[in-house]
Amino acid sequence: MISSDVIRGYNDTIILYLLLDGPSYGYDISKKIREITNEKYIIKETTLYSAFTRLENNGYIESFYGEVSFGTRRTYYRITNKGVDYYKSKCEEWKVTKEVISKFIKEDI
Amino acid sequence: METIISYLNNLFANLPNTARVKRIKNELAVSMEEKYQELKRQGKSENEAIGIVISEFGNINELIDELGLKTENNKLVVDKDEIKAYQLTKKKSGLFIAFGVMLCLMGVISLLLSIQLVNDKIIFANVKENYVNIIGIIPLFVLISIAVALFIFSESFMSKYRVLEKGVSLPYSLNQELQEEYQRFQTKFTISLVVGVVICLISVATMIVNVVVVELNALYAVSIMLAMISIAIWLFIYFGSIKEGYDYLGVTPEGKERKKINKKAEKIISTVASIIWPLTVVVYLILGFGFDKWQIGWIVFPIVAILFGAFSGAIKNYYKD
Repeated sequence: MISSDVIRGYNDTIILYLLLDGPSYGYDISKKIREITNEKYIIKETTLYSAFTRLENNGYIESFYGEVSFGTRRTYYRITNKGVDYYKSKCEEWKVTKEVISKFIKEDI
Repeated sequence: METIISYLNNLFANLPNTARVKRIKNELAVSMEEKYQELKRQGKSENEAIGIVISEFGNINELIDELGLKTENNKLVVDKDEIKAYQLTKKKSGLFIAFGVMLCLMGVISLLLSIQLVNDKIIFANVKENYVNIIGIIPLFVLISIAVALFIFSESFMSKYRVLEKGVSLPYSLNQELQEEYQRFQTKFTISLVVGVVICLISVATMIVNVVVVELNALYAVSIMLAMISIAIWLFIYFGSIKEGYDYLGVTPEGKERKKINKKAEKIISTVASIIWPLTVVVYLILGFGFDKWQIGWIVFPIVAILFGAFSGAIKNYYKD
């Protein structure tokens, strides 16, 4: 399990990646994150929804009402063009980050 | 699933009820519900499923920070023990005030009675006329002193809860519990009001009968009336202060209304009260000692009470937003 502190700066990237394929909703996204990472990262409910709030405020995603689930309308999110650009820049940032950090990672210790 | 909903309700109880917060809360509820249902489909027991959903909820502060929220007006967040202690103290302080006010009325009664008893040469028959009034005033002052002591005690109990009375933010479940408790209390409160009002009406009727039919001396008749009224006032104050406790906790309709009334209104009313009531007592004493109008002078109390009631009503209305 990855601690949420380490991954904090990349929750946005993860969510945007999952929205690239098409609109989705909260539970579906958290389920996909769990599956893709082989349960190494389970995103907390509050983390997910603060990310949604933040991404929506910045115009990277849009919300809309979808089908009814358990008596309430599910809120779906879709990525915007601005969001795609932001996602690309985050990918670039990650490449650099990975490169920098790996300089300080000893394989054989 | 109800456990999860009440868990969410509890966490959101202290947050402002804006459309945005409501939306997030709903979305969380839906998402948690879906996770819960899926876990159950996978064969998890009810408790396991709830446990997992709650353990994967995260920290509400993360959302609070993201939404840029602080708890409503930075109100005091209190727990059940504190509320119970507050209610108990409020009750005790109400009891002290109720007995204090009763003693004040007893003081007035003892003054009236002693004047008439001396006049009728039943007690202190040999005392000179000049000293008569002095005799009456001694029990008045003694009883009022005890009453003042009771008022001070009551205030000292309550002083540590004054902050709490400025407004508290109750956890959802506690708020529910207090609402229910208040529903039960309301019946008692209504009965106490009805009994009090009936006693007042009977007391006036008794006085009229005593004066007109029995031809009892007016001072005796008024004394009997005041004694009855003091019982009614005891009921009003005691049960009123318990109710006020619920008002301050914001569980009554009046309590919710009260929040809207400007603090300024309350300040003005209490300032006026602290001037007008001692003044009324002075006027009454002047009427009595100066003009020997004990029989009718007491009328200043109900007159001032009605005027003051109207005044405070008007002020409250004026400052309502």
